[in-house]
Amino acid sequence: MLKYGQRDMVQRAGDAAAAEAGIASDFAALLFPKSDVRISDRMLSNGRQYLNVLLAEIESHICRIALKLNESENEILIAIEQDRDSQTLPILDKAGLLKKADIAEHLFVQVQAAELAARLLHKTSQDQLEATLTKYLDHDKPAVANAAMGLLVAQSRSLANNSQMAADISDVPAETLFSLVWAVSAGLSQITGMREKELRIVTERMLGEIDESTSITRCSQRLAQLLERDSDDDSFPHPIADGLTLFVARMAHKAALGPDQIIKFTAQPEMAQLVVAMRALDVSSHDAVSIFAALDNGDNILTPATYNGIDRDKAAALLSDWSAPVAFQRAKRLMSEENSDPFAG
Amino acid sequence: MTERGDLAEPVRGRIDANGLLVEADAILLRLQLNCGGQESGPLAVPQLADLCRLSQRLGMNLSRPVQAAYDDYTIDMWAETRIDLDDENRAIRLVIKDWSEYPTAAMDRVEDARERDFDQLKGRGSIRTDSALRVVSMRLPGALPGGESEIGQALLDIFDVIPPSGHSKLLEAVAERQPIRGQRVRQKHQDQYLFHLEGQPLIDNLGHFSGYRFMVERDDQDVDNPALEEMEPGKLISQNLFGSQLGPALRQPLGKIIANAETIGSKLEGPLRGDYASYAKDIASAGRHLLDLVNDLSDLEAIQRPGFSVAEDDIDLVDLAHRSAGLLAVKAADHQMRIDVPDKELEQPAQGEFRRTLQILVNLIGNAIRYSPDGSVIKIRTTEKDGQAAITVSDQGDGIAVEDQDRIFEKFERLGRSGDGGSGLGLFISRRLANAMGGSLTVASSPGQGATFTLTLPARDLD
Repeated sequence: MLKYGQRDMVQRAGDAAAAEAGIASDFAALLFPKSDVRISDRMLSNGRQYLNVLLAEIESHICRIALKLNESENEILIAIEQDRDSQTLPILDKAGLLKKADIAEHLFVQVQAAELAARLLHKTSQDQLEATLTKYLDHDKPAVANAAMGLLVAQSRSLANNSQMAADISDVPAETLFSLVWAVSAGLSQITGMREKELRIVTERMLGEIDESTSITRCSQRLAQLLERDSDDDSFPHPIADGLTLFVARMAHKAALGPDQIIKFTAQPEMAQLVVAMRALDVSSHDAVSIFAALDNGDNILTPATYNGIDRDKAAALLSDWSAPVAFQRAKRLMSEENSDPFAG
Repeated sequence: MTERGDLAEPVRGRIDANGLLVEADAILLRLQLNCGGQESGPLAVPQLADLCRLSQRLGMNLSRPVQAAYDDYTIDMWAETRIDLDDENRAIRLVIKDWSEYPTAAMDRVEDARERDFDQLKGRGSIRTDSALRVVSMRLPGALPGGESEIGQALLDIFDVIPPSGHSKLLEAVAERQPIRGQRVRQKHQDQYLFHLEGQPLIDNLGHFSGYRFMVERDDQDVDNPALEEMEPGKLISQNLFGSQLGPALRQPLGKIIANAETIGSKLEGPLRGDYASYAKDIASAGRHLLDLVNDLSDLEAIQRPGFSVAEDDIDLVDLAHRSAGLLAVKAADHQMRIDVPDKELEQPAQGEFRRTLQILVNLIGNAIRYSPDGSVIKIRTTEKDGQAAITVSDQGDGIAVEDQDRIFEKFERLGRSGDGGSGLGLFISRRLANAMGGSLTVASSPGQGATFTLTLPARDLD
């Protein structure tokens, strides 16, 4: 017996025909990946779940404002506001609005950060990771204490629901969130039948209520900036001693890179870019080996001999390249790919 | 300057929909003015202006690390934007936390300050733009007016690009973050002067493109060139030969010769046979010598003109000692010399033209480097006596015999020395400049004991 009814079957056949052109490219992407990064089924599943929750959060936020502004009791809006699943995901997906590099990159970074957090929890406890932050609450400088409190609050929001990938709107990079929110808004106009003008006012209000300063990324960056500024301590940050987000922010600050770049470094085979970045920053072999062990999934070992064998000047030159504007790096890479095989179709 | 991290309270400002800084705490206003902006004018701190524009475009409250700089100081801050949802104009409240100022240690900041001093010394102007090519500070060459009302305007609204190159070529170079070389432009308004722009892209600490720094020079083919107006009918060459005609005409090709020879000599364009690289360095060195000679002859002509006058700037001789030592730091290091300057905390206020005083000090320190043994120390000190502020430059060279001490201030006098890159005009020009500023330039020396040159200028009371 077939799983779907006749009507479902017709609908699915129609959808499948529309998507037929994408089969080859999906298969090609799996067969011929452009990077060596291994993406597990768990990561894919987490990515889908995160996207679903994120879009649901945006929808919920928009509907909440619409209900409040219009003092309405629209049942569709109430239902969407309370639903934990996104209603616009299928529409946006079908329209190709989610297939954007910045959205995909944000999803990947979130999923990889969750992987790293899980690995750390195998080596230490959540309590211990939080304790590293609470020590800053009594810091002599009120700004440091204030920033640490901000980060603790931001982290507690993301940990509130352990059962699934948590999504906090303010954690999405502002430029990415902007396009995502307007896409969701357009999707909601189809589902709810709200007038566009009304929806536009609501969406603008929603964007205006977003506060980037409460995001984990910005809180950790601010704390990192303050700690790096005031620190007379030569020791390098460590994931176990600082917690994942603060470690990433402090390392990014030292390397003049973005926190997302550091997270992506950890996804690569043997975390090659992370190791080279540590070498460029003159991290001692003892610290580098320990940081590597804390972040690795247990498959690899970094030895002091391997680490010390990396030419520091070359590592510094590479790190300097990685801090160049992303558009420049991408263009350079594409041009070198083209030059390496001029006859490539 | 504030001490590191001592601003417990946030610094606040308010930016209207047109990007004007309509309200600002004193410390933010000070930064605005230092960046070339005006009170209630467009926000002139490039990084903050970028953040506010992005916040306005997205309609979102942003929170990001920002680094700003002026003179020799860097300011680290954490800036947050707050959109006033109930304000139809969508004004932005700017809240700056963790404001921390500290002297810039990085080489590029030192280089920036030094570049500005070089520009002033050569009578060049400079323009700083943000990433959208909007002017954030502007100083035109010489005493030409302009600079304040242009803040916030797009560069291409202020200047027309002169063919053969056009807007598209300039914009292409900007899009690719390429240096801009030899770009001729004409002022759209005011006196419609012609200028040459040389631009370098600026990259901030996060690796992001943050704008351009342009060096501005008057174009020698300027139709409004006063020298041409002064000419008598039928004369091909004006009396103002070097300053207005030959000088600019020679400087540009000489500059290109030096730049190209240095590029070849440093093998930046690829490998080169060792002796060829050495020839290229000789060409660059000869070019620099010729350029110095052209500059000296221009100055000579200028100071001998009957109407020659100098500006009366409020200057600090200690500050000028540091600036001139900074300009010659590389040359001194090449000879393992140390320039011992007065403590930066000291002050020696005086009255005189900033650029001309800098020129005299660069000449004196340059001579000291040229005629002192490698590894020696050049000492600069400041004093005040009888209403005159004085700065002395002492070297550990061979010294000057008493009978020669007047001769060295004469035109083309080299005391029999040759092949050291000097023109014999530097001290003559320096003394005339010192006299024109109401001061003097003297020397005290004995053979084998080094020499001490003393520049005096009218002292200025500190307010």
